[in-house]
Amino acid sequence: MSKERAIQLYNSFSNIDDQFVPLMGEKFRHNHMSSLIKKSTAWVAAICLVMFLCGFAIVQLDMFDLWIQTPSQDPVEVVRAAIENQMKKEYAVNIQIHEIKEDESATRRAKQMYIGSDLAKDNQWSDTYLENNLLVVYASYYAEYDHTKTFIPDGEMCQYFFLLRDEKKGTWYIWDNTTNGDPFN
Amino acid sequence: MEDTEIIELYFNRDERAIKETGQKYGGFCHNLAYHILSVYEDAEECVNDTYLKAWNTIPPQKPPHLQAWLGRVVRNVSLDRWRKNHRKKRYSGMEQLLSELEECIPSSMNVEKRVEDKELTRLLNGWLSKLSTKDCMLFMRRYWLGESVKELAVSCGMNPTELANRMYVLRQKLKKYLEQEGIYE
Repeated sequence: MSKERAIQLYNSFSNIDDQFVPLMGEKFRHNHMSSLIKKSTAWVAAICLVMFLCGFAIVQLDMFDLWIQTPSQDPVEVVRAAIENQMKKEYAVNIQIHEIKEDESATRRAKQMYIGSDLAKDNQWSDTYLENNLLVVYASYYAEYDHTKTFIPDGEMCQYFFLLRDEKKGTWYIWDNTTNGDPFN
Repeated sequence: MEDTEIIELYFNRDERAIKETGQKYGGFCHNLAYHILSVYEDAEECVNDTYLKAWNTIPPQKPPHLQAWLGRVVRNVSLDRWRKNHRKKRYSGMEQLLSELEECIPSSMNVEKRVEDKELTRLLNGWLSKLSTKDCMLFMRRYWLGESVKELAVSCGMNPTELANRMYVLRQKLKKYLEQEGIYE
């Protein structure tokens, strides 16, 4: 019976909202052969890039990070800079920040959620580290993107940013963020 | 070629529509089918069936997002094939996906009334929209595209164990969410 339910669950994914499909990236937009060629090219490019940029901090170059980050000792400024830096991307048309603030309640809930979790173990975050170095910042802003160039959703955005502090440097950086809305629902 | 131009070819009953679809999304469709069926020839047949379905249904249909639409069709076609043949053939990709998705099924769901597919899709949309971009991308690539954990880990620069743990946390999160929604009670 549970297998049938799993099939139904799997099937329900077929009709998932179109907005989630582009999140998977553009890498399948080509045929098998060009995939192989591009994979090899990507590897060479990646190696060159790593060699070229080896002096930079990884946090500033995180290729899986959608944000252009400027780590700072002020967590609100980190988020403000990341949102403002969206304007440096070619698809950005307009960004208007309404409010950015540390969210104590969300931070408490995030700590409850992550302290002692499997994720914390995987990342080797001790309870003390998370207690002292995890923070949630709330941001509301208006974003307008050119949808001929990107599928990233825009409009009135309410996002929660999960920040971690580099203990050595004392600077905060964005570790993760919600797409839009409350992360604890 | 832009999606709108490809769709125009379908509307003009121009056979180049199939060629252009294959060129742009052939790899994507094949990957998706292969991840479900894990048999090259069967995956290829599913892709051809998908092109035929596109030819027969566009027009009158005019997909707003061609990649998502094709993905949906190839998933359904592959799932049908899996249903027909899985007793005769060992489709390891799908078996693995289903066994993972079984973990997301609340126990009450196994015995209670059937949930409408549409309702389940609505819930999945809601759940995915609350995930961080990274988690949403990971979940979709694993359960929509059917990418293996190993492939996904490589392309995201993660350790496979770390990724498997992350996926486990996400499955538990989905299970909790489905339970909280209480539609199975």
